[in-house]
Amino acid sequence: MKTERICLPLANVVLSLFLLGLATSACTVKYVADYDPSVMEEIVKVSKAVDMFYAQILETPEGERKYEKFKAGYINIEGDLYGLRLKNEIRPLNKESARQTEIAQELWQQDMTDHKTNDSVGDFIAKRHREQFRRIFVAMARGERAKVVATQ
Amino acid sequence: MSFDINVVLKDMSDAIQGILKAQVGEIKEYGKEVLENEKASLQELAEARIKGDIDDAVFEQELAREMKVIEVELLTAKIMTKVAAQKATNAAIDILTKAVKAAIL
Repeated sequence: MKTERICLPLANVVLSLFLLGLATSACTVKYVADYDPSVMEEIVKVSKAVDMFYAQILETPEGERKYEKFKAGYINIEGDLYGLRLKNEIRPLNKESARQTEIAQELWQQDMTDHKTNDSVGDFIAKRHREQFRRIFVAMARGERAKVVATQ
Repeated sequence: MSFDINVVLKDMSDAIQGILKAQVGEIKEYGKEVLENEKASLQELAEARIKGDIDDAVFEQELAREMKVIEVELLTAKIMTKVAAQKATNAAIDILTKAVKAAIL
């Protein structure tokens, strides 16, 4: 029948075009956020600021480590951490990095509160927390760097 | 050109395995580093408490803090795992779509 002779080739053409479209379309999955070099820069910048802050504490004789002397430093770094957290939270598929910065912020705020309460920081705590933040920022940087490989 | 699903599946499987082998190796190495960091940190904390350099309150606070640092480190391992899955899946999809395209043309 004439209708059938037209329909069958037409169906084949439609199917072929569909499969060609599928084959040539950008069909990919995405489980992580894209790498962001500005976030990596920020991680390095904030990690340096935190490390220098603890270095200043440790260079100061224990009896002179009043909170008021370090208050501005605490507030500045708190602002830096807030900015880094915001950058991470607005990126889709980035909840792990967002949580990492949230934890960094929590621990920084804890340090600020404890220093204010005790009006001093001992060497043991200062050294320990300096090292903890080093580990935190290394983890953040490694996590961000891993995202470069995701699209290679 | 013909489309042999068995050949395509084998190619997809090889690609997935190749990528996962490389990525999992890196994740394992990172895991070892995290454990080493943890060992050193907990040892220092335990010794400080045993020697009496810190009291129970500080010990408990530092332990809770340590758990949060570990969480940060493990979140990086999670990111690395997701990256591995993304790469492997996309490599497999790429092989399939290229095979289909070749069969159509």
